This record gives sequence, structure tokens and C-alpha cells, in this order.
Amino acid sequence: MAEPILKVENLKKYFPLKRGLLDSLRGKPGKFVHAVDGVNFEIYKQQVFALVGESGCGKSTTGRLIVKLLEPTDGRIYLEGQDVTTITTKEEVLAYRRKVQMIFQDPFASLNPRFRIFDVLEEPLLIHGIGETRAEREELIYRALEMVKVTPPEDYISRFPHMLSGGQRQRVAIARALILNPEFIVADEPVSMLDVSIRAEILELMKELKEKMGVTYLYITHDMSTARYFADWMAVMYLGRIVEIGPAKRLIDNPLHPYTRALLAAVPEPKPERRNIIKELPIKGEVPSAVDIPSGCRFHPRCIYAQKGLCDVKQPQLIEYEHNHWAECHLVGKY
Amino acid sequence: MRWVDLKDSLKSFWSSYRRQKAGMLGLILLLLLIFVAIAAPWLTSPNVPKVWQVGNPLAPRNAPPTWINAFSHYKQSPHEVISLSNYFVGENKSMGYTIYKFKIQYPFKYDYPPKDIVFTGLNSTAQNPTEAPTMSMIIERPHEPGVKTEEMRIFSDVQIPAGAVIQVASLPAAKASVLVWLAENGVYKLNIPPGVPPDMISYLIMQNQTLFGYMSSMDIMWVIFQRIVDEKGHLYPLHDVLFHQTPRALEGTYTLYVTIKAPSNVKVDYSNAKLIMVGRTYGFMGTDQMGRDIWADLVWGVRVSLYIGLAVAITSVLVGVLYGVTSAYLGGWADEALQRFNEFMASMPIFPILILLGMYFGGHITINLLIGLLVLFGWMGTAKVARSMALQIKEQTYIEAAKALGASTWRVVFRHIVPQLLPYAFASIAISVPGAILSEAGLSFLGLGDPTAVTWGQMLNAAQQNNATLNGYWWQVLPPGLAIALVGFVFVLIGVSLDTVLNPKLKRS
Amino acid sequence: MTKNVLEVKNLKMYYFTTKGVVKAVDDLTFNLKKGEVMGLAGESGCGKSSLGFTLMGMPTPPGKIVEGSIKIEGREIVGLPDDVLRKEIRWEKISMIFQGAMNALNPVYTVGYQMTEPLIYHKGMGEEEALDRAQRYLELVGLDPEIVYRYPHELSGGMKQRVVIAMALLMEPSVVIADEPTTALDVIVQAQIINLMKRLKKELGLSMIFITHDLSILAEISDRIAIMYAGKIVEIGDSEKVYYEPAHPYTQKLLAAIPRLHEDVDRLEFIPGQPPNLIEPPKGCRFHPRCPYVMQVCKEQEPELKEVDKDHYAACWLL
Ligand SMILES: Nc1ncnc2c1ncn2[C@@H]1O[C@H](COP(=O)(O)OP(=O)(O)O)[C@@H](O)[C@H]1O
Ligand SMILES: Nc1ncnc2c1ncn2[C@@H]1O[C@H](COP(=O)(O)OP(=O)(O)O)[C@@H](O)[C@H]1O
Ligand code: SF4
Ligand code: SF4
Ligand SMILES: [Mg+2]
Ligand SMILES: [Mg+2]
Repeated sequence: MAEPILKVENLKKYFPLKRGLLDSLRGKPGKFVHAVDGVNFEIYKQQVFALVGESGCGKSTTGRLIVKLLEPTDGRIYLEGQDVTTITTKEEVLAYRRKVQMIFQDPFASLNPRFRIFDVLEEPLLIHGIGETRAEREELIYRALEMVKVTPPEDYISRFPHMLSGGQRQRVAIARALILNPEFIVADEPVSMLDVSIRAEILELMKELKEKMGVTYLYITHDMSTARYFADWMAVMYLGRIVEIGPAKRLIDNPLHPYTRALLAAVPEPKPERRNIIKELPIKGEVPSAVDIPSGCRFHPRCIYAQKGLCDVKQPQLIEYEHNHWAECHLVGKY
Repeated sequence: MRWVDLKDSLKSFWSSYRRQKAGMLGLILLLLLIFVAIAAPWLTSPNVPKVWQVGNPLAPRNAPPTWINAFSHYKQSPHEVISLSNYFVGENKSMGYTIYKFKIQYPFKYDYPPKDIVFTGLNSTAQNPTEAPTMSMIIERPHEPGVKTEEMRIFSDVQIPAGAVIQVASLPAAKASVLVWLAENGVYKLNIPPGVPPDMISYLIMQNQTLFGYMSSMDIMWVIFQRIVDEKGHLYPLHDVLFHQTPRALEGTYTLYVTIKAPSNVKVDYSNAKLIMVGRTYGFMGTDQMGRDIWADLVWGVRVSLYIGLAVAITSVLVGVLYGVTSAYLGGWADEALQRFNEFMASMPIFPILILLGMYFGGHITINLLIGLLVLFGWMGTAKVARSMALQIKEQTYIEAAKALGASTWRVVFRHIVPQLLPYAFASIAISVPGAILSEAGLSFLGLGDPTAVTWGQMLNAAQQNNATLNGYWWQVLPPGLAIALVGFVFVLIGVSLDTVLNPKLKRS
Repeated sequence: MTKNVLEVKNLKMYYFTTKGVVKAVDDLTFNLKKGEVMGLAGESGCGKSSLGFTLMGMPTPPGKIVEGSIKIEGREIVGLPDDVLRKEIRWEKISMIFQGAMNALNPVYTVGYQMTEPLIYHKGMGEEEALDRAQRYLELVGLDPEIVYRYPHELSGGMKQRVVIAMALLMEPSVVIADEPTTALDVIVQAQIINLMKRLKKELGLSMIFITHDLSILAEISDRIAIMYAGKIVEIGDSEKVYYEPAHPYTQKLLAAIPRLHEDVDRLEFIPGQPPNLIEPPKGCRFHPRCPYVMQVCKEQEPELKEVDKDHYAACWLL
């Protein structure tokens, strides 16, 4: 396989917790939300890498770190071999933003309600000085809208976001990211706010654009089914760490980590004949806070296979158990 | 925002604002106020600000408005200014002099006579006092049964240097003439040796101890405009005529004959000459203790009050919005510091401080300094709201999206955040205008404002110094007070409607 | 033959807005049997929540019931005065788990207070009895009864959703309407809540209308399924039949749009276009602008629900 386009090394992001004045005066050590706590992965060109996990596990934070909306506490991010955590000058950051773009979860919130569609799409062009004249920019905007199938463009450019349906809004958001011709797109739950009937359409569109424009996606989701459909690779996150990573289909068909198994077991199955059977969920309790991370394997308080004296003291390492299929568990294959 | 968008949003704003009845009323009233403010010099006179400082000696002091006559049993004569040039009846030349004649009809139908008859505004080319024009005045009273001579000589050949003012009520010669007239009509006996020229008669009267005593305290205007004969045909006694007890005005048309005499080589310009019947009531709103026209001051007050109100409101809202947005955008320590400073300013007892500052500036703050001070203490509320709104907007995904696109801070603040605050800013400008006007009025009332500015606060201050409330000079207190209330009302109407229409959905945290 | 606890006939509920009349619930007829879970699915905006509120006898203003009948255990509730509805019907006979209710819990009161307040003030129950009952139901939904003394912000999303479910059950209603009870929840919590619902159905013999826009969740729990499109039921029937032999093109498309966890599909199906405006819905079959099989008759005449199989109805001219 070729060189990865994006590579993340030991990425960490800790958010300081607000503490009272009294505590700071007493010199109590500050506490942190360990949102991302040592994450490694590589993404290859024109592939889709899915990052799945429950809410609060650090998926969005990882995405934001990659698009440089946040600065990491530690770790490195390389785009085409270049370390992007060290770039600081305005020009370099702007050049980076042209290459790496983001699509957000909520199409109702990601477009300024006071901007017409034209303004929404013109903004990236203005920021990056693309298109000398308004006519040139209009041309680019029309092309972008056609690409995301919001047609005919002239019917839409002077509308405000609230005059579009949810699906159309998300298409406009995609067009806004694509108009800069980026190489890499972080799509943070791009379909989870949409109706099931529309999800497929947006995913199809993103797939098509991947082929046409050669973009690479980091697809963030909590939905294993769309991840299987859309992604080539998949990583499962739990409390700020990747606990399992591998080819999407393989990972779903043969999960190695107990947490992945629980996630998969929880996915609703459209099998009405089994409706009266209460499903076994191989997991207990609830997600602990990301402030006080459990010792050893961070999943051990919820793991039904946890071994005393091992799992609660020793942190497991990410190990390749099958070709390209890694998991972070002491007991893979032994439970 | 492009022009078409602006036009569109204004259009849609207008179509919803129109439906606000209160808002429309407020808007109409505001337009009216603005019209009055602009047209003040034409509606009143351009020298109102000058008169404000020096007062008007030719107008009655503390005179109530004329329309109170409609509500009172006894009618008091109103203030009237008669332009002499309208009553020119001819000139003739004799013995090297030119004589200009004027005849004025003065219909008098009141119970109280004017306070005075004042002559003013005559210009001439006279170089030295000997050339100065002289003036005579004769009043022909309406017929009164039992009175022999209706013609009453008031004074003759009084010299009038350029720009001089003749006040009949305090002119000794006039008093003497009137006493002579009373003697002629038999009100009292005066021993006049036959053949004494009229000028000498006055002289004789001044020699008379009793009459001279009367002269200093008599009110000549009463003598001119009252009956001297009672219903039974008896003359009133002299003391009663001079020091009347009850009004018994002689109604009818009085004819004033004014002649001006000047050497023929001296040019006389009477185009500005005026005869002023100094009233006991004055105009539409009366006068204050300096003879200033309350109506004119009130109209000019619209100008200054609106200017102060709008300047303070716009500037402090602008400052507040920028402060709040900056604070929210910077976040962290800077935000913390800016907020603490805001709270510090907000916790200052504004009015006491303004009073101290007013005293420090010796009660002579200029309008602009005052505006500056009011802004200094007026931005904190807006800043707080603007900050919390900006904080909310800042957390919106579209701001994050703009940053991901590479938008600069400038762009995020001025393209994404500030435009969302504009509706709130407009509404809060409207709502904070009355506060600013009230603050100015309060300071001025306490004598700490700009005494040279014609403002409602200064008018109230003048009334206060005049003990207007104790003296019952309600016309000095009510108009400025009500005007302040009206402007407050207008802006509250507008502000509340703006708030409803623009309804910033993301308001407060 | 089990008894019907709920019988709905020709129900119409329209919103009389300034822009026009929104026909959100337009001529619906269906029954719910005792102990049965009926799933109600459809794209957002098709009128699912509106139907829920209408069944509770409280359409949101400017909505009004225009026509039709709702019988709960044989008693007609359309036309009942509001105080009767409040005292005798709502919560006692029919209750609802509102969409997003878990986030609408009042942060300043304890869970116990919020649960017992309606019992004490509206039903005249004693304080202790009410608290006792609240604790019993909290236990039933798998929570520690001591939670009555906690505040909503101290609870996780799943716990709050359980509290809301317990609140709906407090008065032992004959019918429970659950409006998107799992939508904002994570997969594992969602699965736990569905398990809880299944358990309640079994243990209490609960009759329930389960509303969602996600057909795969419906399959987890529903005995019968009704598919709504633009204010109308276009298909209704036994859930296995609707799932495996969907009769209506809309149902077929909806099912094909669900990505399957363990199946490989090359292309997901989707329904082009968007649901119609309910002020002026398309003439004839409301689905015709998006239907791949549209015929001339579809554009002109509205299809009626037809029995395609035993207890399986669909409204389409193809049938
Ligand atoms: N800006 C922030 N400040 C403080 N904590 C944050 C911030 N953003 C995210 N977090 C915390 O970090 C953790 C991970 O959040 P996030 O990356 O959004 O998770 P996900 O996208 O997987 O739901 C959560 O506990 C969240 O509360
Ligand atoms: N209070 C209301 N006033 C006017 N229209 C409403 C109101 N509530 C819902 N609607 C409209 O009724 C239709 C159905 O809404 P709803 O029942 O909430 O759909 P669902 O729950 O299926 O998403 C939508 O078109 C919606 O816009
Ligand atoms: S390491 Fe132990 S606790 Fe962690 S997942 Fe594996 S078995 Fe469970
Ligand atoms: S009636 Fe016609 S348009 Fe409607 S679903 Fe059937 S085939 Fe399609
Ligand atoms: Mg997220
Ligand atoms: Mg709904």
C-alpha cells in the first residue's frame, strides 16, 4: 500500500476542567478531561476511514485536531509527510486549510442563518482569494452546487438556509468544503441528523465525490452500519483511545475487542421475528467520566471478561492480531 | 451584507414593523420631533439661544400663557408686538425738520391693561445727541360718558438716541402728563395760572409734594386703560383712580398717535421700530423670570435633547457592543478582566459621580463633555448582553465552519457575529435614548449641566431657581417635564416594537 | 381475539396556521390491541408526533381535531371537555413519552418532586403514597429508587430516559405512546432502553404505540407496523409481513435505504426528493412525485387502503 496521506501519532488533547478560585489558590492540581488520550492511525489516499464510538469518546475532538480547530496537548499529525502540528504562520495555516476541510453534524447549525447560499459558498473563495471577479466566483459556485446536485443552482443561490430541506443544507455544506478542492475531508457525523431515507443519498453523494475528486475522508460516526457501508477502514474509540482498528468489514464481521462486540450487539436488527427476545448486551454499567480514567484497561469496569489483577492494573497495548487488524485487549482470543 | 440583502432585510423588517401599532405611533411622533428639531429656527426665531443667555427685557416676566384667559373670570391683556411701519400715515416737513406720523388702533377688551407700552428699534443717521430724533405720543381713549377730553397726551419730544428704548410706564414725563389729564377732567383740582405752557404744567406737578409722591408709586397703565367715572356718573376720587382696588377697564379701541421728528438731514429708519404692548399673559406657553418665551425654549430643547439622547445612546451602544464582542471573542483571561472592569464600572454610583464631576467642572460642563460622561457610564449593560449573545453565537457551528475555512478573526467578528447583534443594538439604542435625556435633565436640573444650552433640564433648573412651584408658575414646570416624558414614551414605544420585531432569538445566556 | 384498547376512526387533525391549513393527521383509521406494540414510522414532518398529541386529546395549537373518533377502551374521547380529559383520561388511560422529554426535565426540582407533583395535585394522592409509587416504578424501569432525591443533571442520558418512561407508567395507563424514545441516545443505551420496553411489554402487558423514523428500531419491538407518509397511513400490518413483503413502494424504498450491519450492498437505495408540504399535498397519491412506479391514475385519484394479505393493508394503485 502507498504512503498514507494522513498520519496521526500519539495524539492527545486534554481540556482543563474549570476549577474554583479557592482550589487554584490552595494549589490543588488542576483536573483534565482526557478527550483524546494517545491515538495513532494512518489514512490512505482516496479511502474512507471511519472513527466510531459512543458520544463523548473523543471522535469530534480528534477531527477538530486534524483540521486545526484545536491544538493538541501532545502528539503529531502529518499530512503527506509534513508535520502540521508545528505550522503556525498565517500563510501556512491558510494553505493547510485549503487541503483539509470539515463537514459538520448539524446542517441546521453549520450554515449562518443570515447568509444566502451564494454567500455561504463565496466565503471560502473570498478567504482564499480564489476567483478574481464576482462572475468567476459565481461560475465556481454554480459548479459546486451542480456537483452536489442542488440543481438548478440559480434557483438556490439566493435562498437562505431555512428555505432548504435538511438534506439540501447538508449538500450545501459539502459544497462549501469541496469548493476549495481539498485533499482530505473530516466528516463529523454528516448524516446522523438526517432522516434514514436521506442518509443513503448523502452517503452516495460523498462516495461519488470521493471517486471524482480523489478526496480522502475521515468519517466520524456512531453508526456501525453506515460505517460498514461507507468506510474502508474503521477504528473504534473508547474514552479517548482507539481500542480496535482494522478493515471495516473484517472488524464488523470478526470483532476482537469486547467493547466492539458490545457495540455491534447493540445495533438494532431489522428482524421482527425476534421481537420478543430480550437481547444480551455484553457490557455493564455506563461510560465513566473522561476526567478520572479507570486504571489499567480503561474498559475494565464495564468489561464482562475483565480479569482481576490484570485488566485493572495493566494497560493493554494495541496489537496486530490479524493482518491489519489490531486490538487493545489483554485477552483477545482468550475470552 | 450586500446592498440587495440589506434592501431585502429592511423591506421585510418594515413589513413586520408596520404591524406594530405602538411602534408606528412612536415612529410618527419621532419624525415629528425630528422635524421640530430641524425646523426650530424657523418655528421660533434663530436668536433663541442668545435670548436664553441674556433674557428678554422687553417681555413680561413670569407671564402665564394667553389662553388661560379662556378659563379665568378676568381677562389679562396679552403680549403684543406692533410693527410701526404698518401704521405709517404720512410725513411732512417744516422748519428744517421732517415729521413722521403713525396712527395705531389698539382694540382693548381685557380687564387688566398691558404692563407697559415700550417703544424700540428706531434707527437713524444722527451723529450727535442734538440731531437725535424725538418722539411724541398721544392716546385717544374710547368715549367714556362724563369725560371731557378723550385725548391724552402721554409725552412730547422725548429724545431717542439710536437703539434706545422708551418704557412708558416708568417715564416721569408720561406720569406727569397723565396727572395733568386727570386734572383737566376734574378728577382733582390743580391750580394752574392761566397761560402756562403745557411743559410747565408737568413741571408744576413735580413741584407738588403730594402729586410727586403719587407719581413714584402710581401705575400709569391702569390710569390709561380704566374708567374714571363710576356708573352713577361720579368721578372717582384721585386716590382711587391712581391706586385702584378692582379692575374697571375701559374697553374699546384706543388710538395711539406717534410722531417722530428729526432734522431733515437725518435719515430715519423706522422699518424695525416696534411698539410693544407688554402683556400680562404671553404667547402660547408664557414666560419665565427672564422674560424668555417658554414655547421657543421648549422647541429648541427638542434639538438639544434629541441630540444628547441620540448621541449618548448610539455611542454607548456602539461602545458596549464592541466591548462585549471583544470580551466574548478573546475569552479566557482577557474576557475575565474586561468583565470585571465592566462590573466595576456598573457598580459605580453613576449619578453621585456625575454630580461630583459636574461640580468639579464648575457647573459649566459643555454639551459634548456631558455626552462623553454619560457614554462613559452608559455602555455596561449593552456590553453584558452583547457579550452573552456573542458567546452564544461564537459557539455556533457555523463559526467553527468559518474558522475551518480559514476565516480571520476580523471576518468572524464582523461578518458573522456583529451582524447578528445589530437588531439588538438598534433596539437598545432606542430604549436607552430616554435614559440619556433624563440624565442630562437631572444634571441640568441640579445646575450641573451646560447653562448655555437650551435644554429641558436647564428650563427646569430655571423654574426651580424661580421657585416656580411655590409661586404657582406651572407653565414653567409642566412643558419641559411633559416633553421629557413624551420623548421617553416615544422611544420606549419604538424600542419595545423593535424588540418584538427583531426579537433576537439568542438573547441573554 | 383480543380486545382493542384503542380504536381510531377517520381521525383528522389540522393545524390552522396563518400560511394555510396543515393537514398533519389526515383521515387515519387503525386499532391497537391489548398487549400489542404498534410501530409508527415515517420521515420527519409526516405527522407522527401530531398523531401522538391528538391521541392524548391535546393537539398543539393551532391544531384542532376536525373529524373522527378516538375510543380508548370503548370510551369516546373526541369532544370530551378539557377538565374531564385531564382528570379521567390523560395519564390514567393514555400517556405519552414525549419526544426529547428527558431534556425537558426541570433542573431545579428533584426527580421525586417532578414525578409525584402531578399525582398529588391532580390526582389527590397522599404525599407518601405518591412517593412510594414513584419509587416502585423507578425500580421497575431498572433504576435505584433512591434516585427520587437526585436532580436531573446528576443523571446520565439513559437514566433520564428511564425516569421519563417511569413517569408515563405511573398511572397505569391502558395505552402508552412513546415518541422517538431512543433517538438522542447512544447505541448501547438505545439497546438497553429497547430491552426495557420489551420487558415492560411482557411484564405489564403494555399496549404501546412506538413512534420513530428509524425502521430498524421498529423491527426490534413492534408487533404491527404502520407507515405514515404526508399525514396518511400508507401501509399497515403485521410487522413480519410489512418487513418481508412490503406492499407499498414507499415502504419498500424505506427498507432498502437501511444499511445492514452484516450484509454487503453496493449501492444503498434512497428516495429522491423530499416529503411534500402538508398545506398543499400533491393530488392523488401523495407519494407520486417521488414514486418510481407512478402512473397516470396515481396523479389523479387517491388510493384507498386495500387488504393485500390477512391483516396487511396498503394504499397504492399497483395493488
Ligand atoms: N472545548 C471543550 N472543552 C472542554 N471539554 C470538551 C471540549 N470539547 C469536548 N470536550 C469533552 O471531551 C470529550 C470528548 O468530546 P467529543 O470529542 O466531542 O466526543 P464525541 O465527538 O465522540 O462525542 C467529552 O467528554 C467532552 O465533554
Ligand atoms: N404547532 C404546529 N403548528 C403548525 N404546524 C405544525 C405544528 N406542529 C407540527 N406542525 C407541522 O405538522 C407536520 C407534522 O409534524 P410532526 O407531527 O411534528 O411530524 P413528525 O413527528 O412526524 O416529525 C409538519 O409539517 C410540521 O411542520
Ligand atoms: S483488557 Fe480486560 S478489561 Fe480490557 S477489554 Fe480486554 S478483557 Fe476487557
Ligand atoms: S399509488 Fe402510484 S404513486 Fe402512489 S405509491 Fe402506488 S404506484 Fe406509487
Ligand atoms: Mg461529536
Ligand atoms: Mg416528531
